[in-house]
Amino acid sequence: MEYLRLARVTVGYRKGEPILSDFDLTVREGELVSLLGPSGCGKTTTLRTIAGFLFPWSGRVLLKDKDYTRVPPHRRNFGLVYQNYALFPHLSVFENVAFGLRMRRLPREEIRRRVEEALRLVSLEGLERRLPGQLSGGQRQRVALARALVIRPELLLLDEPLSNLDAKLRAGMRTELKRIQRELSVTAIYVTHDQSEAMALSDRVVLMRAGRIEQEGTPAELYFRPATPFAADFMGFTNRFDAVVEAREGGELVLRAGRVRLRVRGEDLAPGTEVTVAIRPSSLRLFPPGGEGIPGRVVSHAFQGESVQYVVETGLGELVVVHPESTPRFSPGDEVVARAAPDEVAVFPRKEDA
Amino acid sequence: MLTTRKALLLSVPALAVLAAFFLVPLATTFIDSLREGGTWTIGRYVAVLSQRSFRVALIRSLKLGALVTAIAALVSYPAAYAISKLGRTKRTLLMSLIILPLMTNPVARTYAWFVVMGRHGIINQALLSLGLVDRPVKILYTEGAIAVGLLQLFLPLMLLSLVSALENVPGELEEAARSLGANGLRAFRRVILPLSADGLVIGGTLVFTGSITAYVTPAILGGTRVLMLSTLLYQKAMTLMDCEGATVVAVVMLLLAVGLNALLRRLRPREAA
Amino acid sequence: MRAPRSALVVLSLSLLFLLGPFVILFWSSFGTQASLAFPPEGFTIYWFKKVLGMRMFVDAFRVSVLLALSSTAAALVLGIPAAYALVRFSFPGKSFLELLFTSPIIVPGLVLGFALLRFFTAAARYPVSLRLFLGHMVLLFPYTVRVISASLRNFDPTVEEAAVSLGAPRWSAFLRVVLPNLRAGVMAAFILAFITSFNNVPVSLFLSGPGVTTLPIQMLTYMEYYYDPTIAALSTLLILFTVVIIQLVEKTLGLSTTLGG
Ligand SMILES: Nc1ncnc2c1ncn2[C@@H]1O[C@H](COP(=O)(O)OP(=O)(O)O)[C@@H](O)[C@H]1O
Ligand SMILES: [Mg+2]
Repeated sequence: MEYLRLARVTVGYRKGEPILSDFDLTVREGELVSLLGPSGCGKTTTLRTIAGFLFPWSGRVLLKDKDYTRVPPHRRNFGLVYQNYALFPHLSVFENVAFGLRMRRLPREEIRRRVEEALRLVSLEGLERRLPGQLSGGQRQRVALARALVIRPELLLLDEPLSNLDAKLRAGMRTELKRIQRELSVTAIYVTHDQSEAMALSDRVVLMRAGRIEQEGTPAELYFRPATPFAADFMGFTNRFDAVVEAREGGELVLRAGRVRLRVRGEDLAPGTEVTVAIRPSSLRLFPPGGEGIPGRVVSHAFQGESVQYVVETGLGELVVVHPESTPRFSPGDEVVARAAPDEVAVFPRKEDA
Repeated sequence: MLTTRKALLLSVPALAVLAAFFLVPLATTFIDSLREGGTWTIGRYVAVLSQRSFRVALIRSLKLGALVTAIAALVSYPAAYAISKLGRTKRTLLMSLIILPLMTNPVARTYAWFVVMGRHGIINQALLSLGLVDRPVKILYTEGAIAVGLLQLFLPLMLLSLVSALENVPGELEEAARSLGANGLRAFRRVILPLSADGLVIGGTLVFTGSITAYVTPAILGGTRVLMLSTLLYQKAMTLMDCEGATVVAVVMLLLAVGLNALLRRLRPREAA
Repeated sequence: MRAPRSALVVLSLSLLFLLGPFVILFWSSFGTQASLAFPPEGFTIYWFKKVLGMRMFVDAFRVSVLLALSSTAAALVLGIPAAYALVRFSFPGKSFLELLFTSPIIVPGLVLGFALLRFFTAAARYPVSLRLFLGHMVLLFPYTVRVISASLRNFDPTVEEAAVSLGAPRWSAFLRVVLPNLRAGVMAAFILAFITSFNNVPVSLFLSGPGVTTLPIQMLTYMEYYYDPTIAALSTLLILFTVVIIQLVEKTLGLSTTLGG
């Protein structure tokens, strides 16, 4: 069911320079949607518009079909979690979490009960009397989350909440965030520039680029079927080269790039179409010379723990290949051919903007 | 826009107070200096500018201002450099000593020089007992006395500006310059001076403007004979009851201060004081 | 890298120049001669007793303290919302306001005092104490705006937004979240403004009147007629008072926050 909707929203900071133009977004009840995109593409702007801190120049913000466009932010009942936590530095953990309940003038006893419950939810029992300055980054993050959840928000808005944590904490918090969101079945919008974070957390991902939606879909759809070269690049299809469609055989396309011929599973493209081909490093495999594939020579290899990354010089430029192996099978100087699984190659008709 | 209205609402009280008790008094002073008998005229300016006492005071103000600024800059660079190389505790202690003249009641501060420079002050006593003079020499009520008093007041300002400018010059830069073969003086000229020029310009403007408009120091140490613009203004307004003349002096001082500040903003738009 | 010897020598001489006169003044205020001389003879605290018992100074001190307290409070009441508007909002005319709000610092104090004198003379209904209050308020306003703006700029606006998102209207978020965290800034502004008012001569010079005179002006008047160490004793007390304030500021707020605003 449609829960939150932005309808043709135009908003910005300076007259005549909109950041979002005619922006549409739909979020369903109980779902966690990620806004994903490079820094500066307008994710925070979108979130702040939903929260009510930015007024749309035109268009509407609807929640459960009620028009929220003119509702001031303090009457919206949306929980917000910021990248820098934005805790009240002069208030204890307890008072931070209780703040929204006090604003709602709830009875003391209920405030105490709900704060305790919220702190238990984020495993922070016992730290009620600490000040934010006396907490670790991960603990602050949890307080911020508890503070946003305790008001039982109709919408939870998270702006890069994990990006100030170190890698190890981040992975743990990610799982926990997902668990809590499921448990409370709260509808959430999660802003991030980290592709893997969006993949791990979301029911749906909205990929943004320069104030527009580039692609939206399930994590799997974005991961395996990027719709545009930009989406492909963002999803890690970092090897790229140009090719021409030579023929269509069965469900497959035959591409020609330089002297190399490549079979891929692809759309209905007419022979002669110029295309851009994008392949993820982990979708390529290296073999000893001979047979089909892209011939080349290994330039370097580097260990990456469980895998080895090769750089291969080919007629189509340098390709990066990642093999899941702990000892390298090829050495710099070796002649190889690189082959890609036909259904892991992305093919786009070439346009100017790619 | 909604936010514009809120912002204006918040600043309206301040705006009203400043308009009534700052802009209007200054504007009427300025306008009155140009009006006589219902018509616009620069007659008053011509009259005041042709007075010897005014020209002497103006030139003296500019001269002493320049002198004090130059000495403050020369002294402050090495002193501020030495401070910036000290540890935190020592630096804090020094800073609190340095700002003492700035924060002290100006009459008390200036009065201290009486004991140093007076007829029976420490300098004269020293000169007499060394047999260098046989009568006390006149030190008070001279340009030199004013310059010394101003320097004590404004040296701290220059020091503060330069210390904060030098703190922003990473120590590694100087070390890098040295390692590339620059000697101490060249490292200073090529690396530290350009990087701290902002502090010098800001401090210099503050010191110069402050010196040419200060009142207490010239009033006490210069007396009624060695007049600067400020003491001349007071004399005209309160002793000579020449309010018209005083208005002209006031406008000249105002224009000097505002002009210098505008110049500073031009040079360093970021951090004008 | 350490500073060269010569720089340290210049620093020491500067300190001697800046503080030496205070030490000499301090010393001579205990002398028994009836006129200032160096070296002072004997030891007495007579001058201190005398100055503390003089009505003219005690009254002037009271005027100065009341004036400094009231004009500082008023400058804060005007300055805090103005600083908030300047830091948190962007609107047409903002740079003009910024310039206007800082300009009383640029205008020489004596010129401001003189202009206010002419203004108040033309409008005779202002009593002397009100003239002093208004003049000092205008003088102090830029300091409060500057210090409060600096500490507002250091306070993350998202914290305030978080309060709003939790249901606090703007004004309530300001009172409950912003203001408590501005305490150091308000304190710093208060102290800076108080000292500025307490020490002011140029504005008070023109606006003081019969019966209502501030301490520095009273000292200037006294010095025109008398040369005994009374003023030395009073000056010593005032310098010690300043030392105490600087120490307090340093201990509680840090000097750089107070001066650097
Ligand atoms: N307060 C602001 N004033 C003016 N421009 C802003 C402001 N905040 C963001 N922008 C601009 O809006 C664009 C989108 O910013 P933002 O929504 O913060 O991006 P993201 O969160 O995706 O990194 C950027 O070009 C940024 O420079
Ligand atoms: Mg952002």
